[in-house]
Amino acid sequence: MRSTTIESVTRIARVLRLVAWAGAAACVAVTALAVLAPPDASSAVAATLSTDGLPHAWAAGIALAVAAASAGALAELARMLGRVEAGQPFSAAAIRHFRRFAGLLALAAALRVALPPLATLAAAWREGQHAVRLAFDGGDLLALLPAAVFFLVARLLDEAARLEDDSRSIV
Amino acid sequence: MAIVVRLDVMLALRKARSRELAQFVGITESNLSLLKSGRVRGVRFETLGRICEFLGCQPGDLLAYVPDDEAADGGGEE
Repeated sequence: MRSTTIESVTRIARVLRLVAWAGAAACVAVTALAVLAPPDASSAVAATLSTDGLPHAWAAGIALAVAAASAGALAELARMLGRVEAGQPFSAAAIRHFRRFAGLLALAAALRVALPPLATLAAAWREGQHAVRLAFDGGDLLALLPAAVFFLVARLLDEAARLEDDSRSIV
Repeated sequence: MAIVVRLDVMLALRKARSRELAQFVGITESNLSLLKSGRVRGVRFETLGRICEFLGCQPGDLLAYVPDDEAADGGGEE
């Protein structure tokens, strides 16, 4: 029964790890495509960078920063799942990767919320405007919540690691 | 450690081998060695019961309470 559960967890971890690596690669590739491709490019597959009135270079910088943090988070998640696949779900390394995943996810969410308005303010100040209109997406703000929950999960994993250590030293 | 494991004493009294005991109980010899040296945090009742069954003894024959100050003095009950 227990070995069946472990096999099932290992199989799910392997699939999720591959999905996480694919997601990280896709995140970087699509963002790079959107940043580097000319706006009027006509091809079968196209990625568009939404500038929202910002200079193209600034919008590209924001997109790259968010993509780097997101891809980093997915890579850390994949590495953590690799530990789960190896049968070490509560090892110190697995928990460290999970904590980094939560941190980078929070960073990506924070950058997505904070950078566009800051860039808009900076652009307005540079152009000498006295009034500026800022827009916040509720979905982006909500994305901070899972990141906070993942930090809590990391704390729970710490406790699980302690219990596993206890269990291992009971014969 | 206030609890002293006297498994080695019982094994000697019964003239039993560690390997046979480990096989009977269903634990590895390395785990049995850790248990004999008292370097474990606990013993499952199931393990304790199997050891008692093999050695024909009571749990009290395997475990003894020795206050820390006595252990530091090198004393004990013996």
